[in-house]
Amino acid sequence: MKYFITFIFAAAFTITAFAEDVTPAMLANRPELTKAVAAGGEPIAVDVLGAVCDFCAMAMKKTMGKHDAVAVAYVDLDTKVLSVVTKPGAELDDATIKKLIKKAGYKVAAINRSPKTGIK
Amino acid sequence: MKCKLYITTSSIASLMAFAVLAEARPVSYQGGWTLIEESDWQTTSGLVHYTLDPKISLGARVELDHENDTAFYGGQATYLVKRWFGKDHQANLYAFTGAGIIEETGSGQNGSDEAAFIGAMADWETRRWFVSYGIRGFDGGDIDKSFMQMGRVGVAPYVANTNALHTWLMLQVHHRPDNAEPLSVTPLVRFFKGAALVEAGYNINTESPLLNFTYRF
Repeated sequence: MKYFITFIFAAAFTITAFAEDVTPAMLANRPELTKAVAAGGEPIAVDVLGAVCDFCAMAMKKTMGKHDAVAVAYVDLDTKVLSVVTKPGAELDDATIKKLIKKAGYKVAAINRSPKTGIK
Repeated sequence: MKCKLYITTSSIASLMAFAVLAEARPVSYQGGWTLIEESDWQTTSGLVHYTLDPKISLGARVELDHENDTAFYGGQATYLVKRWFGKDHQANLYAFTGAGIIEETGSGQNGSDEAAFIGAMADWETRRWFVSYGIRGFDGGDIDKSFMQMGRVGVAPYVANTNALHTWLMLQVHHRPDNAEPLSVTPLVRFFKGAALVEAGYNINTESPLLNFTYRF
């Protein structure tokens, strides 16, 4: 039994180690972000470092989401971009964004306040 | 530390160490809670920790040793010494320590003792590859002074985006110099989605299952 399991695991490990990345199709625009922008919020795209798993994404989303100025936040692991939309009329400066990301345990690489596609 | 001599086995410390060294992201975001359950061939453990600061988490740990009929109750502090960031990777170095009480739980046994441990853990991770290593020393007074180390390598068969199901194939190796069979190997599968992480494996030395669960909130 144990040899069989070891063999199966080793084979699967070897095959997948050299496989090409397969990224599932994801929504180009998140509905909650689109809605927040339509409501008059400012979209901000933040390039983040170290976003490699859902715990990372969750940490940044929750930390940003607690701030009064933030309407919605979403981390895309494929692009390593934290998308933030502020509440209408609210301000969120770069220093605050960097501070919040640091509280989440991560680091900002760049902040884009005019993302080309508006969202994501 | 004052220690009483009630414990009859010297393996308790290493069993606790297995659980400690297998934890994923032992420090969360500031204000975050994490619940961790881990079971292997001999122990079932639970740890709940709160992250005070992006570098420090404090938690309460319970561990049951079914083979030696003992239970450990104590606290654990974990410090993120350094995190290295990259666009596509993250690496961490943690130090941890803990202290508590061990009680005998077998029929007719009611002894207890104090215990403490200290260790370090490092990991490097991309969305495709994972490597970790941990080391721990345990001081059980005159009863036990032990050492163990553990390493893991892993690969993701596919790379999933946020909130999708992430799957990892991992190989875990324990080294316990005090054991009759010092090396122990466990292939395992990790499923990871959102705030929940589940690991299921099979120890090929003891021919027994491993089941770990982590939930972050």
